[in-house]
Amino acid sequence: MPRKERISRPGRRRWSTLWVNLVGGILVVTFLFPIYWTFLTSLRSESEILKWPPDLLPVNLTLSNYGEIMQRSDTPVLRWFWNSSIAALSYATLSLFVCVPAAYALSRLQFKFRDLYFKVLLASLTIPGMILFLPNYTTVDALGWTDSLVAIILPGLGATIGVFLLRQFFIGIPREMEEAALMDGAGVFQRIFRIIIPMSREAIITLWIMNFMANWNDYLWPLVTLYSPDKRTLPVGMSTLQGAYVHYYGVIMAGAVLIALPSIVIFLLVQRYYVKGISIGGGLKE
Amino acid sequence: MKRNTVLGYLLLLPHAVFFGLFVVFPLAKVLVMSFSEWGLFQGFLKWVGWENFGVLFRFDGYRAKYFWQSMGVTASFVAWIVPLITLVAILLAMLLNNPRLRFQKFLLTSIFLPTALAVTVTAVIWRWIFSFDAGLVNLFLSGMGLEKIPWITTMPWAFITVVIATLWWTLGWNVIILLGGLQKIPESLYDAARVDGANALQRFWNVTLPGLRNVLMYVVITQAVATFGIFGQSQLMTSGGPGRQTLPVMLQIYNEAFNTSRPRMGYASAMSVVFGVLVLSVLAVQYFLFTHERKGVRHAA
Repeated sequence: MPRKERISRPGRRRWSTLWVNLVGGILVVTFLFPIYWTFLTSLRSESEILKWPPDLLPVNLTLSNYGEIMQRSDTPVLRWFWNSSIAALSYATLSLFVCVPAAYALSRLQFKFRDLYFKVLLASLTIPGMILFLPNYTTVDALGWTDSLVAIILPGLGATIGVFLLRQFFIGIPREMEEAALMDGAGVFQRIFRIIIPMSREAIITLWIMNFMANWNDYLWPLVTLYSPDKRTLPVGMSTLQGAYVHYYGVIMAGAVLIALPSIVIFLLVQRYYVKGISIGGGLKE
Repeated sequence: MKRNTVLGYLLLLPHAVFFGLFVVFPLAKVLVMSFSEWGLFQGFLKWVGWENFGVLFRFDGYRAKYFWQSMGVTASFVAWIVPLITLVAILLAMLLNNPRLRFQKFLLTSIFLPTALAVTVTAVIWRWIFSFDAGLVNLFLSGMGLEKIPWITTMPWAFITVVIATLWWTLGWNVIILLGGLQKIPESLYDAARVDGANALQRFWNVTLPGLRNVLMYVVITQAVATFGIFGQSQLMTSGGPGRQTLPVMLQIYNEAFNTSRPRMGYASAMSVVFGVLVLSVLAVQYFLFTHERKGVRHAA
């Protein structure tokens, strides 16, 4: 028995190593191939796209689809790119300006109704977004914000998840750090800027990136609040493109690549923080 | 510690303004809207009492039929996508947690990358891959001498393609959370199970699953919330078709409120109230099941 075990074990291990890596390899291909194929299609002429058998390798490529998109005036991709950037940058940054002070107050200061207010914020997490969708649209419309980027920057600032995330971090910062600053006569804003923010840099960057990505990729809300072609964001513009070039897959895919490329680049640059943000979300419930 | 009442309120104020205007106020407003006739541009027109809700429960009318049909579609999406995504995500997280995997980081990035894309991009990619004339799947089917399948325009394929696109798009999110959960389970528990002679399946059942309980609850509930709100994939890939068989509630609400020649904001608000209340009850039941069962386990132990 022991002898047999000694012989079979290394063999079994090698087999399972092989299987694990084989399955892993297949998964890599499964997940990346659609993106690769989209990119390849965007670089091909229509006749090349419909050819059988299809070339799975990058041969016979052209940039004409990208030229086609850039030319047309009803699909101003660069303008959409600009709108998306302004909106996502503004939203992610402003969100910090409202969340940091609120989280500081809830984690560091003592005042009447603090815990009650915190419970209200907590309860609000359970409200399904679909209930807020129509009334918020009518509010934004009544304020005259529709068809301008304000409509997709300001309403999201009411979200509470950022306040929770930061409050959690601020609680973990030792009070002594602040008390030393207090001795030096630092006011509350100095304490926030000199101690709290530098100490929770990672959490703040993470929150900023999560908010940036969420705003950049948002679809339903900008779809209803922005209607002029030059006011749209990239994801909404993409659906316009799909309508304008129904069966011209090369052009549609070129549009998809232009929209996806910034997200992919940002994602690869900041993946570490992004992963952290999601894990924090998972950890919150523990 | 001394009280800082004024300062506290002052710091809360910027967030509170937006929280009040866009989270608390709409809760009241949606009720007002659902009991009134509400113009897309005119705003409040007149009270109609329970009329909007009455339409939803007058089962012989076509509008009630459309609403409940779309509720059924959303329910099927939830019933398929949530268990499927949870199961596949657990398997992928276990694979990624396996020390024998040589390219863990690369695989994680590959699985995670699609979550960074907008739903429009996801929809366009999968519409293209499943397109009838020149989609890759059909090219291979006809290349192998098989008949092409109209994926986007017939059932059950339209439903399946939306599920596949959703899986590809959002799996990474859940895998990351579950992987974090797996890494927190102490190795000593597995060793103890091995000493007791537990095989791989028993170790999964008795060590891995209980260890993942909290994380699983989070994954199931957040995934359910996301799937109840399914909109973009259906709107962009199948337009809700064929017929209305992939048309979820959010698309129905959107169509009623914005797309028709005579937008019906009040009626659409009534739909979102009924839908929101149902979603909330389902989530409450899920939460109860997860926490209740845990208490039972604790008593047993």
